[in-house]
Amino acid sequence: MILIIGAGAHGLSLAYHLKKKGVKDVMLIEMKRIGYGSSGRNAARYRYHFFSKENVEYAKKAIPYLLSQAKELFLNSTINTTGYLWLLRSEKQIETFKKLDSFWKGLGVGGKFIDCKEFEYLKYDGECYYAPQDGSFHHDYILYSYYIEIMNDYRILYDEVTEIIVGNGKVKGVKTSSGKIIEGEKVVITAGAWSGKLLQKVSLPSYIEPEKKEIFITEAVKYFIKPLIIDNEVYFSQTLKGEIIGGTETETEKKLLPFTNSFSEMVKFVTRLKSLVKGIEGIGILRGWSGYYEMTPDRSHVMGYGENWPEGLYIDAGYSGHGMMFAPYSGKLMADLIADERKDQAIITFSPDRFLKNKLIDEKLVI
Amino acid sequence: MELPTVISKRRRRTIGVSYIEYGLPNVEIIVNGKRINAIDEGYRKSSIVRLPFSVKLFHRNLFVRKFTAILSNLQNLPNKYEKTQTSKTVEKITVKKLIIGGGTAGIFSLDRESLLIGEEIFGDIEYDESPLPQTSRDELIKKLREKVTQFEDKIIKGKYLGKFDEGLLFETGDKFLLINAESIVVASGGRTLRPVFKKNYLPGIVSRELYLKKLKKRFSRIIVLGFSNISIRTALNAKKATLIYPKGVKPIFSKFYLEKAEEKGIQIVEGDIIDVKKEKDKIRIVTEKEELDGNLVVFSTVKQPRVEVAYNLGLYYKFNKTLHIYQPIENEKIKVIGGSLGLSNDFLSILSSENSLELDICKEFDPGVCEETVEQMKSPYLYGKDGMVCECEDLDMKDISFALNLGFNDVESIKRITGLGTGHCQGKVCSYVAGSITKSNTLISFRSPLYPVVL
Repeated sequence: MILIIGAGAHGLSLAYHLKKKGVKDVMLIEMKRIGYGSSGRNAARYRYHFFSKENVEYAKKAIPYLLSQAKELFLNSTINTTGYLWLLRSEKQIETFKKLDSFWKGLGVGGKFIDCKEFEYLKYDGECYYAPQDGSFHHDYILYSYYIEIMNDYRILYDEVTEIIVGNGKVKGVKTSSGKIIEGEKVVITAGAWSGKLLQKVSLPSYIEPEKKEIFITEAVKYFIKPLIIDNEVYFSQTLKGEIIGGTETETEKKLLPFTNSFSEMVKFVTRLKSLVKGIEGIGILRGWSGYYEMTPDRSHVMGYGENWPEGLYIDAGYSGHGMMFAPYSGKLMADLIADERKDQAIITFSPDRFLKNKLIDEKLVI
Repeated sequence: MELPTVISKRRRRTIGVSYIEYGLPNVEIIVNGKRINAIDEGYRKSSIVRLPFSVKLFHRNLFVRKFTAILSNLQNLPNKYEKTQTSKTVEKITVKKLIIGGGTAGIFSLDRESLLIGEEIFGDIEYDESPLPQTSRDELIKKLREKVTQFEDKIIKGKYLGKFDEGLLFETGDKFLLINAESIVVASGGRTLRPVFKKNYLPGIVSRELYLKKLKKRFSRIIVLGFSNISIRTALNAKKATLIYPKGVKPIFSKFYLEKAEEKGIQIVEGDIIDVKKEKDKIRIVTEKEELDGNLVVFSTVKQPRVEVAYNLGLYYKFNKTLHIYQPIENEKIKVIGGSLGLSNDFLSILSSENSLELDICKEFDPGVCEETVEQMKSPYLYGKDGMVCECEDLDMKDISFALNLGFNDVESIKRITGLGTGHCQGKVCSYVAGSITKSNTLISFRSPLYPVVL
């Protein structure tokens, strides 16, 4: 029996890919409801543009896979190539992007410097950097498509895992808060922001820390802001339903803070938004919510298993704010590893052992 | 008299404005960047072209899938939002007892230690002329006015926008208030919601609240849709009325109101609605058995408590399978009274403000009727298999069925698959109706802000 802890995008994608391989005994254990964590709370954007070579290379495989899955999956994932647009406000930023531009060009995902005036709805006419390959999708439609594919084959147990049972260096199963013991020879942690807590239960370093983020959407307006726009301390984009969605960069303590919103964050977001976009001076904030970025020390994900881990224990988590876009591909790689013992190079690159060996990935672009 | 109409978001069909409460679908609309009240302005717009949108088409049609981004431009959306006001100040205050809602129950909870904030002071009782079994309505209004005069300085007109880290956010005429309260009384009342049947979006089909507050004088012959006391009470306001409850639904009328209905010659019939025909001054409801004429259709199924307020404050709720309402469950710090409990009788509302725990909603009905009534076999909102469910996102029963057929039967999943409840009103209508139809024990997360915040 393979036990998957956490029925978010990564857990469900893994389950879907295991089913495709014909694996029979799989059970998902979900604490709240499917997509309760970051999968149901993110801004649903995809990008190739990362700071580290490892993440760009990963995206070069993961994003085309996301796009191909979107064609096959049951629900319409509303894939839209919109681009990302960075507003460059200082010489220092321009310098940074000059370096990034040649780095990205070298990897075949180059963007371009562009006069912000070309985006006539922006109240900024300085320099911008445009990455046209990036885009948007609808997270729920991907998540629920995976769920629809597996719902009749695999059981989802709604319960919280309190213990991962290990004996003789091997995983034996899990224990849940209702006192159930579920046996399994393979246990996969795909619990997003809660994954660190689970690792601690088997006396492993937690690696993954939750960082609370707030996000807001406005009332709907005709679709006109195509790219995701990133400025100092604020990012936003527009959904195909017309709402403008985004948030601000505000430091919070790294722990499982309650899913609340603050008035000051809302004011900060909407003030910045209105200072940047024409024609929405009187727009209202329709809804806010919060979620966690599941941060690792090098702001890159952890997949596979560690050298000294109990046999049969796997992880796929710690995506540091870019997990949804990678979920389809990561689920595929994890299924290859778990069902066929096929170890992709990425499984080695993003292995948890890199923290012990101090071979960190130099990722700085967290959006 | 022509009723206001707007064009729906995705199917682009002409739909009638049915509500009067701020925040409900199409009450406030954006025209050329300005916010207008569709009722007050008598806004009328009709569509020329209709679009064949459906959730099934959206998800399953490969052409639509390929061109989703381009097709999204066909949605009827505002093209701008103009700056409307000078910015309001933000004030933080602390109060001992905070009362949310200015209706009967809220007013009767007032004491020297409290602060009451309500969008409307008095509420329905001023407009509803139907009698109460326990006391005279005029007597009650008199008492309410006395209480309001006595505590004038404890009452603020404003709306609850939701819970934030800094406090409970309210918007008044000139400021935003962030309030921290030692105890809270939820007296935010209830509202009637549009039932589901073919062409239920046509102009001339309105809520009890819109009818009582604005249309009563102009429309004398009405057809009331409903199955409970509140339905008869609505009918008693009209010169002539017919009441229809859905086929297969057990009506829950008190003897008192049945007698009043008989005295007034109100005909009560059972039937599902198979068609609606709109002529100039007439609207005709076609059931399997008969055709009923009136000049207005007023839906008055039941008063659904504004659970979004209670839930947003942190309260859980339960689903009442007899009346098909969601009722908040109070805790030590937050008390729930009056219409927020589902009560529609003002006399009992007052009693609930004194002891909310003692007051079961069944006290509104004759002994035995409510308690013994088994759970409804069918949602009292269902008069047919077809019809609009989510007005803001323009979703019909068949769109909801798309999710149901996939095996999803709770409101949260239906929302995630169809977009129900994600539009301008944020599910203040459709989430309850969809909950009733699916007998879902849970609704959606009513997140802050509960109404658009314009800063």
